[in-house]
Amino acid sequence: VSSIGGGLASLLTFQNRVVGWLVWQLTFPGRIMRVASYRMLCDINKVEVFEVNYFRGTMAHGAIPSLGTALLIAIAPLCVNTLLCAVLTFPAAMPMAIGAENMRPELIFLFWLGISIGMHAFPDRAYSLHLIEKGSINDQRKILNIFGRGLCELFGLANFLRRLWFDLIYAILVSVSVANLVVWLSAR
Amino acid sequence: MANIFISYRRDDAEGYAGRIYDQLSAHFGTDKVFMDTDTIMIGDVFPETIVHQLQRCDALIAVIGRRWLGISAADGTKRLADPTDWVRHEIATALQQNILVVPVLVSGAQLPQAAELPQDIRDLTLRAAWEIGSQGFSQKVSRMIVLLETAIAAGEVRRKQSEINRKRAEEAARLAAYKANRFPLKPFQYPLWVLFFCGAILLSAVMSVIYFPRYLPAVTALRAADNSYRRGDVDVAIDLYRETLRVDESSKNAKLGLAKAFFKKGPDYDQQALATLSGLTLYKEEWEELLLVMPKQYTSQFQEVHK
Repeated sequence: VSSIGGGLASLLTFQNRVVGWLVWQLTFPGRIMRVASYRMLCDINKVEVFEVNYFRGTMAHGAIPSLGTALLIAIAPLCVNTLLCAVLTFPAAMPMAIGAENMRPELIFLFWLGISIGMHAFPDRAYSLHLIEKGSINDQRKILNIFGRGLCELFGLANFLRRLWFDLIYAILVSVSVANLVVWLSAR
Repeated sequence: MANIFISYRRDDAEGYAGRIYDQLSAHFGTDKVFMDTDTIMIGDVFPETIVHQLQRCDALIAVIGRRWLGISAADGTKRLADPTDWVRHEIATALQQNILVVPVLVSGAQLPQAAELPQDIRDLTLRAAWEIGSQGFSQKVSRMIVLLETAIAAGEVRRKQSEINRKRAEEAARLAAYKANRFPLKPFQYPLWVLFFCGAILLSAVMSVIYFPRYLPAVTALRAADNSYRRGDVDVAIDLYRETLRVDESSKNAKLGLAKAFFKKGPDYDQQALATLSGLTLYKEEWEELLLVMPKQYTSQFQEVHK
């Protein structure tokens, strides 16, 4: 039983990996947007940037002057990608809400773009923690430190739940809830 | 790690030093107070342990008895005159580290004159001394505890700061090594394709905003239609479902809602309902919902496409 279970588990893992890889490739706009938002926040906060890989989603930067700056950079993708996800999927969420059977191709494109970006909204826990640690070298504010570390753990949880498609669920939730909110507001 | 170091001479004031140690360790805990006979573990290298404790303590209590200054070695020279004398070394190190040094005078001893002391521990005479005798011993040590608590708190701050400084220095060195081979990218100067990509995203966002008012009336009309239908206001519901279909004629929800409303309105509208449903593929739940209002004789006109 255990060998069958093990075989099935490894098959599922393999399948998950393949699907995960495909999703990773298909959602490249989200990855690029995430790194772009990191980079932009670094530039705004005068943090030196040495190396950026937009496709791999990695960046090498210099010293971070304060914990506030570290927090801003750490949550940049969460804010930017969530906002873009809401705005881009919005027109496609509307026809979906009325059960439109013929979706316009441009709406399908916008929906894919929005969901791809929303799926990469949650920053990487290790990178966020690295930012907070670098920020705390020059900034001793305890409350910000605790808040930052708590935020990193939240990101860690979101990263872990990716195995259960939390990133996709989050993007769809953002899309649906913003569309519902607008409809509700307009109906009042 | 001990925060308080008790320095004394065995031949001079071991008894008093022991009593001070007992009271201080009862307050701070045995791990926070160091006294050579009690705190050195079996197998520890004596001088190494002392050096290690000295480098990390926040306060040193120098217990000075009446014989403290005059005790001589076998050859007749004063022990304090010997640079390798441990008591001298302990006090000199503490003074050098600029931590709290408290001379505690016991058994009626006097604080030595600066000239009587070797150069490296002369500053001991500048420190406020505490006279402790058998009478009121506990009260005096209790007062000393307040002073030591402040020193320990200051030590914590000092240690934290030095840890921060160490981290900063490490980070600076790491960055310097990294920067040696690389130059920072110019701020706000992105590759052309990234600019195009961000521009395309922005354009898409604008497109979204343009599209949004187109479907909004359809969604609000559909919701209002569903509410009217539930309330039994069939005529209003029919009008609202039609309004939705005017915006998007492929809306399945509006078609299904319209058909149900027609069936509910009466047999005269059954044909219109069936025409509305023509070409639609329904899910099981939708079909069951339709069956609640559709007369049974029409079920044969539908085909099951998937089991």
